[in-house]
Amino acid sequence: MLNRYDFLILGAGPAGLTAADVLRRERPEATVAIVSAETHCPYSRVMLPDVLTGFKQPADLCLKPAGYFVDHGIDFLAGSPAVRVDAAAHTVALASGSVIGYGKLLVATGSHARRLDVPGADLPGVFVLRDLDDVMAMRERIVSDSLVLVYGGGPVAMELAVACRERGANVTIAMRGNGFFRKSFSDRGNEMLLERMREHGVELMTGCTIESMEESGTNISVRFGDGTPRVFSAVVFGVGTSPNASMLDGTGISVDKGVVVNESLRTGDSDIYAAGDAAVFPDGFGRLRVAATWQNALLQGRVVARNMLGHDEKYSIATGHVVSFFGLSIAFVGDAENGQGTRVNFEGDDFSLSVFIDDGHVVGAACIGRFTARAAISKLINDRTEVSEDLLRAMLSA
Amino acid sequence: MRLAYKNMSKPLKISKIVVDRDLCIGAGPCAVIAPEVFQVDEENKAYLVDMNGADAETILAAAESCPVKAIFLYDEDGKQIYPYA
Repeated sequence: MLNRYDFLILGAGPAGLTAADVLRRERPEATVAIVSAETHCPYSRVMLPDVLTGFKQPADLCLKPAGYFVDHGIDFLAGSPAVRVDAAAHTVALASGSVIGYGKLLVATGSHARRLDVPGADLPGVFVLRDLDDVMAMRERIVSDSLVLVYGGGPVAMELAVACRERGANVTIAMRGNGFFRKSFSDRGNEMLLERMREHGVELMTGCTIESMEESGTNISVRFGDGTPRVFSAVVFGVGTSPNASMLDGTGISVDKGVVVNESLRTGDSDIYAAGDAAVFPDGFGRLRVAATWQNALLQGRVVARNMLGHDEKYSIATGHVVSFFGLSIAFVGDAENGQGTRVNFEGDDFSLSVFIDDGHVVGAACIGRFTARAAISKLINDRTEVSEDLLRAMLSA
Repeated sequence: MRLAYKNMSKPLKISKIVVDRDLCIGAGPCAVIAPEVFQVDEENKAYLVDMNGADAETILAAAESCPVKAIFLYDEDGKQIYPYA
């Protein structure tokens, strides 16, 4: 007989776990299950760099105490990802071959890390940083005095550089652009970031592409776009993510950079919802976007669960995240990474702040260093306050 | 037919809250879930505003929401409630 759950959740990250918790609390008699592609206890990916450095052990990353699922009557189906959703039959097929029925389905499958599409991108010794297995494999390969090439100009590249340096490895960061988060910061802000990297012994290669990679003994020989070959002990890509949404192929549910949902986090199918990194949602300023942050996943998990229970709550909050490296922190609030709207810069001795104004509203901000205006800007975004560039300048220089 | 789940938790009493600023990365979900208890400062670190600003369940939810487990909760006997051992 088909195993069927009132609420079936795909994914055991902050969105899926939070949703399960809310569903369980508010509907004690309902059947709830979580499908996880991995066999590990659900864990915090945010702490993965700490496992690479050795500061934390894998068990330290567990998000739930032992016995949590049993105590809460949640079936935790681990070790096999969902591969196909049949929306008409209300079933989900897993890679293992099992088929599970659902009343309401939540797609909270997150995303996977992309690799460059170049020869050698799948060689042993070429990594992405996405799950615990990635990090455990990296730990074997990246040791003191290793030469590590990190390719990318985003948060993963930054965090990897720090973790590899702490491990005693030599780090080169190569990127296609001329700096980190180039859509977010001014030239001065960018220079602050590059300078801090250099101060901590990280070699930087900007305007750089990779042509191919091949094994060279126990190392990886990388041929750069300009033809130069160089040998590294390991290569790690930090070149962005793609949503895990292929299980929805054939359902007719729209997927574009993520599973498209409305402001209630429901897809075009009234029994299928999405939340977290896998979801593309309306941000309240007339745009669809992905907010791939912990805070967003967790808060969407709360709202989506209530909507699965029959409420109609709108999700509209400007979430943020922070990237820290070598003692410098970079905070993002709202939409500040996609280059939306006009960037207004505020510079000080110990900060570089970029505020994005689109159609008379502050839609996001990114700040390197001291961020005194964080609360004020979050409020402007969340309240949808109309503001001009002049008014903003007056407010923030006061 | 499955039995309705039983809530196993005992009444929760939190007597002490510690935010480890070295661990904190300023991700900030604590300040969204329990804004009367936690806020994030200009260095992007969470700090304790008022440990009586929310009920114990809400404070536990805020601590559990931290992606780096930087919030420590203790009971009256000084025993650590969260992170779970």
